[in-house]
Amino acid sequence: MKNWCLGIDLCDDYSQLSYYNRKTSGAEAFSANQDEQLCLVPTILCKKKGSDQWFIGQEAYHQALLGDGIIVDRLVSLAVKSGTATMEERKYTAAELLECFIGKLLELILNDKDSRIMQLVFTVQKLEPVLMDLLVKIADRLEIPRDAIHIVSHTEAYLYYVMGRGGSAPQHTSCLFDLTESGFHYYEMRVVRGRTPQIIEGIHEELEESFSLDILEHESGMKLADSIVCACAQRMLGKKVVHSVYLTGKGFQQTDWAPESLKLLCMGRRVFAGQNLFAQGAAYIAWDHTRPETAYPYICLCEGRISSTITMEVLHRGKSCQLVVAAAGSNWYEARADAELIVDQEDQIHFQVQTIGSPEEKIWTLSLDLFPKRPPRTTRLELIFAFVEENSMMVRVIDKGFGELFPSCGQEIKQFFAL
Amino acid sequence: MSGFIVCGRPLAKKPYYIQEAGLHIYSEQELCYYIYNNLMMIDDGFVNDRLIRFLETELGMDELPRKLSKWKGKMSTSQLLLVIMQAVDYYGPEELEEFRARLEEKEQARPYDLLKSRADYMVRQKHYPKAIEIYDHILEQEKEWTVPREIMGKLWHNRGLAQIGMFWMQEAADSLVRAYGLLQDSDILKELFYLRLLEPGVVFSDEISLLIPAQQQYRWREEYDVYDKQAANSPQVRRIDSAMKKERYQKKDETERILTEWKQEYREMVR
Repeated sequence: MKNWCLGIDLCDDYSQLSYYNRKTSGAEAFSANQDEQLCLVPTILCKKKGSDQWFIGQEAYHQALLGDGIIVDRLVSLAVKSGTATMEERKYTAAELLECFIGKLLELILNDKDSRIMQLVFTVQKLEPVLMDLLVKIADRLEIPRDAIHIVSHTEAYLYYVMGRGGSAPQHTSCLFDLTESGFHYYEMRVVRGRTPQIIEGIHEELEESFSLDILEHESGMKLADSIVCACAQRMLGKKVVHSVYLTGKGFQQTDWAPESLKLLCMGRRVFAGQNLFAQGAAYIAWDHTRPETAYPYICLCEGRISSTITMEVLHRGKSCQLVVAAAGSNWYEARADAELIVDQEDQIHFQVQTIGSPEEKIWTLSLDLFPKRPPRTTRLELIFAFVEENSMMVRVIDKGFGELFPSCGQEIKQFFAL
Repeated sequence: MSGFIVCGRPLAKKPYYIQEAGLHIYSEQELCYYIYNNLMMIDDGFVNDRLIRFLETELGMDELPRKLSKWKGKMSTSQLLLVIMQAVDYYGPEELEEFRARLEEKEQARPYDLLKSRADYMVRQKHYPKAIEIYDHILEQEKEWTVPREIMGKLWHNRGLAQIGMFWMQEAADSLVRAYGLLQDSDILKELFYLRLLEPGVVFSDEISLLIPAQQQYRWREEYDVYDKQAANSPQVRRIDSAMKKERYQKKDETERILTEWKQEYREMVR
């Protein structure tokens, strides 16, 4: 049985697939042959006319060129908008189309019956809740277990790429420029020293100076693009001490159009250009999920991760202790917790919120006035915690009563707190 | 110490049934609460194999059932109860000390104390026929057990309350009169006065009525009127009023629903 730890970088223009290779102890790009160019799979779907056959990537273009197929692209944006596409008088939802695309993508790698997905991590440009819910549903329909699916931002995938490649605790600041048809993005990985566990911070900025990659087809366009990238690099790097620079995305598939930018970037730094970086980072995350203990014992703070630790004081064997509701550095989409507690002479619940890097502690208060008054220790509450967005936590408190002695009133309190 | 006590285990899917109390228990905390607040209800057969199996299988406990299995038959019921109370994170050290003292008192309690406590619990749980049965049993043994006058008075009084619950109004009046005879408590006179207002057909001796001065009767009448108005505005009465105002078929459905609930309540009472 071949067990796969996969990373999928899902973008509107190209998607990329990567897997963790246990033999080499590293993430590797997947492509139909060894050519790195082919690891970029255009995120398009083509329906063969008059049939129920679907094609993806280059094959999709091929069918369309033959006049045999109808193409639909920008599947990720379509999914975020919950849009539809009509082909041959039938309306297809974004969910159906994306499911088809992902299914076909996975078929490229899972080409025998003995293959099984152990962990699958999607990495996307922007963590939209609609898209995240949809990817989970699609994985469910593809019979991938729920606890084997994770969705992370490009920022997080980048952090794991650097940590995975490095093999040991990261020491230096590094940065990444991602140039695609969809935009020009800057990422930075910083190591926050003097903390235990160590904090790895990921910064992301969408640069205003994005441009169409078509201009790279002409010499004047190349010069313009080079000057834009150079200016961005100067501004973003400034006087920072950056050890390594990564260049990725379709725009950096060739780098000979950017001599001035490369000259600037290479001054006192190591520069790497390549594709599949986010997908490989996702593959490292997938592999880490299979381990009993993480290979990266750091707190990662970036898009998609909670920046605060939220606790509440509880009693255990008469002694006060802290119940961790959500830990800083955990994935907000997966950060669900529940607890059952017995109330002893309290009419409010207080949550302590400690944000990383801030000395102040915030207190959130939830009133229990809606519940009936009962003798001490005869009210059992079920508390359910979940994040609806990165910075918004929902707390549900359900009155469970106390068995037949004090039956439940059936009431529930739901409150949202903003980080 | 106030706060929130962590429940380490989920509730039992199959609860433990305490037959004497007609109660289902779903957690170790409920078990401790029941033991602590109904100590007099607990007899020597309480810590049995069925309870131990429940703790092990339904609640997923291991150390406590193991200890109880080992010591059952070698320790007294009181000691076993203390083991349970100490094993569960529910009562604090002071409460456990107080429980220990009550266990000692119980060991020295007389049979009528234990039975009366059981019957009183039944009244609180609205299991009136069972309560009356136990009160009657104590009454039969009155001479043999030399039940003190005060206890007898309370027993008659509570028997009367149980009979009111069964709408046996005349029998209730008779019990309350007996209670008054033993306790000379004016609150019992008030209860008899209210009983007659509630059920004018109830008969008791004029001597009792003469014990209540006219002014006192007037005041009690006023209080009763307030309670009567409150009762008329209670959720149960409003529900009936609302049902009566519905359209024909809805009225029929709703009244049938109410009657079914009342019948079920009655069956629970007499179970």
